[in-house]
Amino acid sequence: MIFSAEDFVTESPKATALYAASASYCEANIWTSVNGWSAARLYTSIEQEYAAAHSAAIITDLGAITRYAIRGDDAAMMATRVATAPAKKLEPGESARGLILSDEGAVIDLAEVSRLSGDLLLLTTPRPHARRMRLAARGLDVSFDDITAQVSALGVFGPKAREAAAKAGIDLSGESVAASGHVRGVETAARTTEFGALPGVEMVFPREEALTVWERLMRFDGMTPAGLDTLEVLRIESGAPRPGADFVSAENARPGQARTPAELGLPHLAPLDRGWFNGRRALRQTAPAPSRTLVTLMLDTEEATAGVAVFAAGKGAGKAVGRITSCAFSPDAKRMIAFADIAINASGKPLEIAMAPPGEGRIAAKSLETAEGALAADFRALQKEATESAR
Amino acid sequence: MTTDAKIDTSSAGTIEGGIDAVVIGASADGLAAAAYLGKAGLRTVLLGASPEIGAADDDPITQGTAHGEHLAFQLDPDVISDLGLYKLGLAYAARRLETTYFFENHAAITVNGDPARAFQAPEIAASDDAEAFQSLVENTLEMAAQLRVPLAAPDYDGMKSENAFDTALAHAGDKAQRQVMRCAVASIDDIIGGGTNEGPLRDLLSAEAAFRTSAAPHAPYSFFNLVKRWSGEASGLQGAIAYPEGGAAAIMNALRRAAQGAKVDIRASMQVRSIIIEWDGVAGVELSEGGQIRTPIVIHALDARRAFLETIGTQFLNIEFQGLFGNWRPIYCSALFHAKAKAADDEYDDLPATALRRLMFAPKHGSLRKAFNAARAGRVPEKLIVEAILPNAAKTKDAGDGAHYLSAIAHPLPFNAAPDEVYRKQVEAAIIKNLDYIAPQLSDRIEETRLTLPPDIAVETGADAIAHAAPPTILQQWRRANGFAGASGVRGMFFCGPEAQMGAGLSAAAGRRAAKAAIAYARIHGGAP
Repeated sequence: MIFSAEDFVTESPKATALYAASASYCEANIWTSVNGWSAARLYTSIEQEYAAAHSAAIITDLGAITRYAIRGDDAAMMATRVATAPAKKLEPGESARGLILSDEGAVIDLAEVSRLSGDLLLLTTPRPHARRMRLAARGLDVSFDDITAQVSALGVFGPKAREAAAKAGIDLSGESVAASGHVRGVETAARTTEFGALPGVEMVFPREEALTVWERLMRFDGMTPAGLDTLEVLRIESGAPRPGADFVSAENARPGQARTPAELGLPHLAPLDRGWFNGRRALRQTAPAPSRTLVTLMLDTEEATAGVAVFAAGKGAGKAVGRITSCAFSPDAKRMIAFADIAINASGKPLEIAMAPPGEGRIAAKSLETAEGALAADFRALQKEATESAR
Repeated sequence: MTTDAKIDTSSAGTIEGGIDAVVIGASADGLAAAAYLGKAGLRTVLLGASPEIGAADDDPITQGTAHGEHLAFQLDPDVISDLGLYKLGLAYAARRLETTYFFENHAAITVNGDPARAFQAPEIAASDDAEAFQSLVENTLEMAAQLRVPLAAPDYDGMKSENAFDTALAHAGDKAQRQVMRCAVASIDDIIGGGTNEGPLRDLLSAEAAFRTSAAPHAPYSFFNLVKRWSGEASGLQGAIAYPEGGAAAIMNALRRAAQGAKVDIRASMQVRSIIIEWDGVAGVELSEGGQIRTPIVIHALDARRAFLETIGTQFLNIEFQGLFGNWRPIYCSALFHAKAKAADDEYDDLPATALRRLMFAPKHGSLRKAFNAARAGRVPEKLIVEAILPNAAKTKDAGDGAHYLSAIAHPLPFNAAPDEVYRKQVEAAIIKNLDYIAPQLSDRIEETRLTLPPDIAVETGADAIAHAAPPTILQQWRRANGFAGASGVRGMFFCGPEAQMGAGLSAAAGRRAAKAAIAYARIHGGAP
């Protein structure tokens, strides 16, 4: 799960359950806050953490991510109303990704739905959505709780993540099935997940037992705590847009800022030919053709910042076609990688960015292949095939 | 004895096809909508819950005014002309009713039926505030004229932005727009000038603005109720009030005849259990007795809770749309009161036919404030704004039985969804006490009374009592009406119940707009000629 954008205004962030554990490893001691919760930005160095993610495993505190437990006979119906994930089709232990859409079909947030048992679902979202949840529960036989403050949550990512989990006592033999098990007597709910191309495990367990599980996992050889700055590199590499940075939630959007799933490059998370979800009606009926698109770029430079203008290549001093929404330095490629929100007619064409001051020339921006982009491309191909065979 | 073959007329188990549109609810809006659809050539069925639709009100005491209304001031002039209601029996016994205001100090002012000429009343012209009063009235009327269209009924094309009020004003000039936005949040006290000019003019305007609304004169947004109130053109004159011959029942009957003339299939005693939704759009309605009517268009004229939460069901509604249901609880309501009084040596006995007047008791500003506070606390207030008419004053003496009939609306009262006898008694006593300001010693002559509270009207239409409580402030109504009308997202569903209307009074404008939207929808999606 992706963190939402940092909030720079929280003066004294709340400590997550794993705060003590992560603070003891946080040599760099650089912190920020997300949703009012403390979150480490850097433990040692980006290079070190990034290398561990690709060679062994990283561990990270996911306490700033919002979690709702939904119980009741209509739990799946409520989850389908809130998020586009096919909650009704989930077997116990399975989870699915989706989006939270507004009535108009614009993206509000990302979401992940897991069925923990027959009538208990876990909804994980980068940002809290208390009012939306209350409205969605209206008329249904459900109860829901924001359990963010009551649980510890951590993620382990990297090629050896599942091995580390197994050594700590969490048996995740099935590919997609979540397991509830015990780590030194602590009840945990764990599920396999991916962070872009990196395999991983996400674990949720009682707040009081935060240190037990963290320490147990830290015993694994090569396990490195990683902060938000490293996750940002991995995130852009994987092609996952970050709420608040790469797109504005439709709830806060000014005119022209709201984006549909297709405009964010996530059409596969809201397939219109599946069951009902909030916003599907608008997407099927009234939503205009996409006018913007979110692309991942590899910039031929070592520095760039969010907000830099993107131009169509070779057009002289033409108008900017878009802007960089977030970027990070990739230690592997030795270049900046970035998300950019550009006009749809500029996508697929060569792009360049202009760094201030003007006149210093333009820097080429190549398209960056990502795991999320590949999923979207597969989905579009399937849709095209389906419409063609329907004819 | 004839032996007619018994035909089973129950629709249980049947599926009826070939219908272009179904209208649920035989309110004024429902009847008007059905008439419009029928006129456009759509095969339309109107389902009413009560056994008689647009029925004549033959209770001699209520004189046709039992439907919650006794005067027409918001009736949509477009509905009158489009459906030719004058040809169908609508007649005004008086179309510019003069209003006589009575005050706590037993003074009275009679004001011209045209609000633009209200200041010509000698009592007003002589007062120190005459000039201020005149300019206030002129400004308010001008504003009301500019806002007549957006304030009449919501838009059905999905406008839901909370700033929609700005957009609706866009056609007005910059200056007018600024003025309206300033006035939109103002209380009537702000506009008249706080506590500075005490006097009958202030009481008069406060009473007019607060009548049948939930905004006390000192509450924000209360001034706009007066703008809304004076934006009506029921009788071809802005802000004037008309008395339809036969009361509200006459308007309902004219609308029913319009629907019948447009070949609408009117079915009484029909309850709808649910609206069938298939692929995000309306596919038909299911009746309580089991049958189905397949149709791509439903116009719903009952209350919003019933329309959306009960007959469609929350699982088909957009999430944000449901926010519209939660954010308002009714606090105030009005009561309709009818009485038959013995004709004594009464001042109205010798009045000619033109004496049909609107009589209004305007409590003192402070009393009105107290009344709103009391009602908010759930008590029946001591002083009430009372609007009264004497329906048979228009008739010659020999037409009646010598008795006087009185129809009155009193406001503000605490909203009570399930009023008991004690509450009714209290309300009745309070109204009679306040009526004494209008007609002294009337209470001694009352022979028979009828009290109609929101739940009583609701029983008649089959709607929720809350829908008949005093509506929230105009801006809230604006948002609510536009939300219910345009944002449910269910294709083919058009809502024109009480929540789609702004302001009190019989209007039918929402029914007209809903029907127009439905006809446009039918043209695009086939089914309409």
